[in-house]
Amino acid sequence: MKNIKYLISFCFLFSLGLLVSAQEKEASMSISFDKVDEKNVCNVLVSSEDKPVAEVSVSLYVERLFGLLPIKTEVATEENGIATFEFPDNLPLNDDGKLIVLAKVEDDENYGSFEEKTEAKIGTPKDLSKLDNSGRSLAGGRDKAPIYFIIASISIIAGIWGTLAYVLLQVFKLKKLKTV
Amino acid sequence: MEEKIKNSEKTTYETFTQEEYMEMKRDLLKPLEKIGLWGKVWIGFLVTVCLLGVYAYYIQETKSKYVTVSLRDYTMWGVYISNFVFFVALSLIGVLMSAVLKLTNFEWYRPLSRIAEVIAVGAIMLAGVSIVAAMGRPERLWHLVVYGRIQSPIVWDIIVILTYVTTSLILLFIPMIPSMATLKNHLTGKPKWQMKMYELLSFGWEGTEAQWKSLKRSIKILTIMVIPLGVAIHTVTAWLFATTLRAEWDSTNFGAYFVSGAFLLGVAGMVVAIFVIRKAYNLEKYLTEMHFDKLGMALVMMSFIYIYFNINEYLVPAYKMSGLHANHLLNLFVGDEALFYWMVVLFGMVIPATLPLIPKLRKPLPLTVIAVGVVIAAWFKRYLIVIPGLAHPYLPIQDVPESWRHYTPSLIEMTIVAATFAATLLIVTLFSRFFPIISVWEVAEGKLEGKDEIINYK
Repeated sequence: MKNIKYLISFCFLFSLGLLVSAQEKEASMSISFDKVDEKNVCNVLVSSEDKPVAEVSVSLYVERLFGLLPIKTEVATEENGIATFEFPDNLPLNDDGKLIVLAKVEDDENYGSFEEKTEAKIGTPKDLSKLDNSGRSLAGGRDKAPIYFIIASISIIAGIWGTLAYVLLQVFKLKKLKTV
Repeated sequence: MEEKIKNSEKTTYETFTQEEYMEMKRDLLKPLEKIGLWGKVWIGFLVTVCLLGVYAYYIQETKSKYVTVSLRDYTMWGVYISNFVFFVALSLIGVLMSAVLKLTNFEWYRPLSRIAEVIAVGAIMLAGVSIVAAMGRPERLWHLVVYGRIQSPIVWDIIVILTYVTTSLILLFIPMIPSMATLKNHLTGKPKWQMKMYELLSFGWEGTEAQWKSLKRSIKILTIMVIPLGVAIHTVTAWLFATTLRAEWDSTNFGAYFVSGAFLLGVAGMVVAIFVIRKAYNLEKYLTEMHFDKLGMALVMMSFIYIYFNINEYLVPAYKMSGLHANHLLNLFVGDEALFYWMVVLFGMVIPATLPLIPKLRKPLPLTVIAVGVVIAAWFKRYLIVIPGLAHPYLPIQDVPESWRHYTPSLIEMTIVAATFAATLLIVTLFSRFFPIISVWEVAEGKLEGKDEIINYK
């Protein structure tokens, strides 16, 4: 009986030990930007308990209006815990002149899923002048309809409604065509 | 030669004094005399359905569309818009059965033209109502005028519908002016207001040579104008789809495809209409078996034209089976909508293209049965054009709610659709109770000019 109690206690402690050892460790990320050979580079440092962590898959995204724009996915961190991404300089910036950059680690076997966001000022300002100053076109605004289109439309509408008015006028004139 | 020129310049302006004419007049004015018990029951039924539709619309607008109808971000045009397309198609009946036959001197058009015109007026009015029923904020309809872009297909649709309603009304009304004088002179026992209405609308008609000349000229101008206008209205309706980014609607074929479908529906609608009218008002002498025979042949021709456009529309993309097109086509051919789709092909195209080739099946009853099938299939065909296409957008939204992916019209929607049908039938029924549904003078003119085919055909 005593042996059985020992056995149960041992199993319980062993399971607890397994559970504790299988638990994911805490990790964090920090995002920084750098310039290497005239090119923008984004470095994502993954660390756990203040030590860099290697071989963790990191994906980098930029937040856009309808979702996340992937810059590059699943880049592994190196010995120094840094995953390096080449960052494009032609992304249109948000209204506040910034981009929201998001680094993600998903389902890592040791550290699970976590993410980090930061702001970056790398990109091109939104240029709406192309839209504002575009010439007349079918896709243009209310006051930007092509001249030929306006002329054609008005001619057709006026021609048809003019004919209808003429025909109605003839109806009103019928009385005058009575025998006197 | 001189004699020939003289004859060609001579126009026969009938005085309609013949005995035959009097008999015709008696026959054709008979439906106006008294509304029988069944007539009243029919009108009462239609009015009830219309009122139910008005009540359903009231619920829809007061309780919000999200709660009362099944329209969602994907299927934002549901059964209302497919109903709208159906009614626009039906309204082309006036173009085909009145204008085209008249201009090409098919004399058998004469007793059909007014029936076709009144159906056209009713259908196009209810097409407009269907659009308003579908609108999110109907009180903002005027914004289309104030803020609309002339380049936009929806603005063109509004313009062309208004123009077509007006033209159809005028084209219905002008040939009725001599009939108004006939009604004024020959109807008895009617209320004062009704007689006053006939007098006002007859515009002092006496049937003088100058009046006939002016009237016929006006009719000719309108008849010519209504053909491109009718084609335009349905083409613009097709462009509403073709200019919207959906795989199913990416087609340069759409305008012609819609117009050919409308002409098929027009012929079928006409067959059903004259079958009911000749039975209800005992007009077998005027709407003869010859008309069914000719319409049966027209049905075959229109079906083949429509089949041709359908092959263009479905077979070419099916050969490529690319991307989203494949989704949609497989859904129609072998997927969820397959039963619907093949029934429409069978009843809406194959049967009307083949069965009326047998002369016996061009008799009134069998042809009407075929035509009813075509009309029902035509409604579902529009449903299949509008709804499944909307379910496959080019830019799918992530994590959409399940209710966006499927569409089944709600009770409120179906009640309003039923009311639009009832309203069209009510317009035709009431019209036939106040005005001769067959133009007396047009039929008489055909007879007096020796075109006996109209009423002597067995």
